[in-house]
Amino acid sequence: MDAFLTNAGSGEPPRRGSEDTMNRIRRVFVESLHLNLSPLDLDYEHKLDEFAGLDSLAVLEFVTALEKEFGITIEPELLRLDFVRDLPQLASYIEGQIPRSPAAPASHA
Amino acid sequence: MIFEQFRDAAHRYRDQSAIIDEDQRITYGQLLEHVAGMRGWLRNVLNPVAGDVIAASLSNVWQFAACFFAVSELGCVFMPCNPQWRAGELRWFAGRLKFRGVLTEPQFRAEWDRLGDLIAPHSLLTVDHAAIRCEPGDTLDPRAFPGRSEDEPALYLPTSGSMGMPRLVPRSHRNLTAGARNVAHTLGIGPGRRLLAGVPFYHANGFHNCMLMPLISGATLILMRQFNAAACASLIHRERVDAVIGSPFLYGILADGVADASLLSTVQHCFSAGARMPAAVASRWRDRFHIRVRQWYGMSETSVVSIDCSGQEPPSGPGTFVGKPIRGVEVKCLHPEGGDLGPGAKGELAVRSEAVMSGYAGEPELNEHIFHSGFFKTGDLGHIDAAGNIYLEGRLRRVINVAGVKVDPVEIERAVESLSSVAECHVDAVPNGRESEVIRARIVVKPDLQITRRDVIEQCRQRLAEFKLPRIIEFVEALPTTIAGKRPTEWKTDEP
Repeated sequence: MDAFLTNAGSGEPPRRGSEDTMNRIRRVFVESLHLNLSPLDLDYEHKLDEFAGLDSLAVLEFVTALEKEFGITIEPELLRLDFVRDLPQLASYIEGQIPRSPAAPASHA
Repeated sequence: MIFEQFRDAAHRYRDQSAIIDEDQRITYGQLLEHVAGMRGWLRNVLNPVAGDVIAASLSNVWQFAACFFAVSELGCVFMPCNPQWRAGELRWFAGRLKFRGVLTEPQFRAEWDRLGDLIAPHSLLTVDHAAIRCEPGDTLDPRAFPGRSEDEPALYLPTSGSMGMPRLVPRSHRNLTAGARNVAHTLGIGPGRRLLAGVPFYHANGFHNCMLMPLISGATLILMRQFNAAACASLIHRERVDAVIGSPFLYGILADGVADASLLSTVQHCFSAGARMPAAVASRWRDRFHIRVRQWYGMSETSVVSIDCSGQEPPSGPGTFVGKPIRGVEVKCLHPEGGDLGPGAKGELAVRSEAVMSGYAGEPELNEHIFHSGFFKTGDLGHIDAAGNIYLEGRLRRVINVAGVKVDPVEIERAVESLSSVAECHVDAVPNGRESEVIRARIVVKPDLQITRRDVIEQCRQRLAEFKLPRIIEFVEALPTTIAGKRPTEWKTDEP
């Protein structure tokens, strides 16, 4: 997990999740936290916590809703604002947690 | 004195498990030794005299209990602080109470370090997770406390005001003993009961009912340091927890997040306090876990007022049913002009018991107005039915309830209005769709000036504990005058 968070130091660009995943996350963010915002208001130039005042309970509510939405478990160590605020990084992590279905191709080229 | 209540329990239940804190299993006898060691250390480092106030910024760790009993054995007054408070918030209390010392965990030191003008570095103590060994000669005085009164404060609890300033609630030895004994009696808490502390000790409910009540009753207290649903469920299963004291927020997270319902099979009783339990959460608990989560009602000033112990579906009636008064507590309902109201009539709830405080610290004028014929006026609206059941229907003053914690909207308004681009701010609570509330700030920006949500959030983060951050931030042209009303009197803050 540490490698996941600090891979920028290796000279590689940070991994970004897909547009589709990021859009789903933005929808979960505004819905689970009952924000008076549209998901489209959450542009990619800012971190998620710049749109709403978030405390640790809000992080927990958001993460619980993400787990339900994507059918995954998020490691307890990542229940931190400094992790979940970064939308592309969060999307990449979530995609890595989704179990591959048996029908999917076994490997990527 | 409250220390004697603990000491007597520790002697009687010496080999029983007192606290289970992750991998630490501490018996009553061991806890008493830890208290003796802590007390010797505090006496040597701080040289306190009776009546000195010692603050603590601690999470739910076994040292919290040991510190409290050590401080009270020394004749000092304990003040639990919320570790989320920022330096400006701590300064308000430190300036008024002149702390003799502060006990904190390493991760909470940073904000205290900024109060160097009020708290000498040698009196800012870090409680680490190793036990403090008793020194020879550190035996606790077996005699009663000569010249000490049961009506002296043992504790100061901070509570949210409604005018931008907090209030201090003194809890005397008599208040604490009566409150703890009455709750323990009403719930049948004693040796063999295994209770999970689901709320922080630094809040009134956590302090009175999760920490103090079980430890003077011989029960076993199980602590949870980090909260997530899966870890909580495993803990309940592993430690055979039979009673949980929590908040609607905790029960909501568990209702959704526990995959295997059988992990909760040992739980017999669940109690929820702080805010109204959403009907959807109560139903999920009944359907998934076959447990009815029971409401209880109390506050810093009074400890527990009433508990739903009926074991049946709540009776119907307007408002939130919160049970009947516990042993030793009388409740009545008051007309706005002051007279007593009969059954069914809505008015202000007022409480009398040995657990009720005698008045806020340092507020003699306010204290003239908060009692009616010996009953404390709670500021809560509600009614009492013919059977003595209590129903809550709202509050008299502007206080927001966020996940069971009271927040003063005026404090937040002041923080936002300190931004130079802001003309005016109004803070209130809005429903979050789960029968709970979140904080909303509506802001009028000065003409031709700009501000972003990020600016507002950063300003609030610097000055306020994170649970006071506005979740929803809206920029409006004007605030409705019916809501804005009169501004409260300006108070000077002590911020540098």
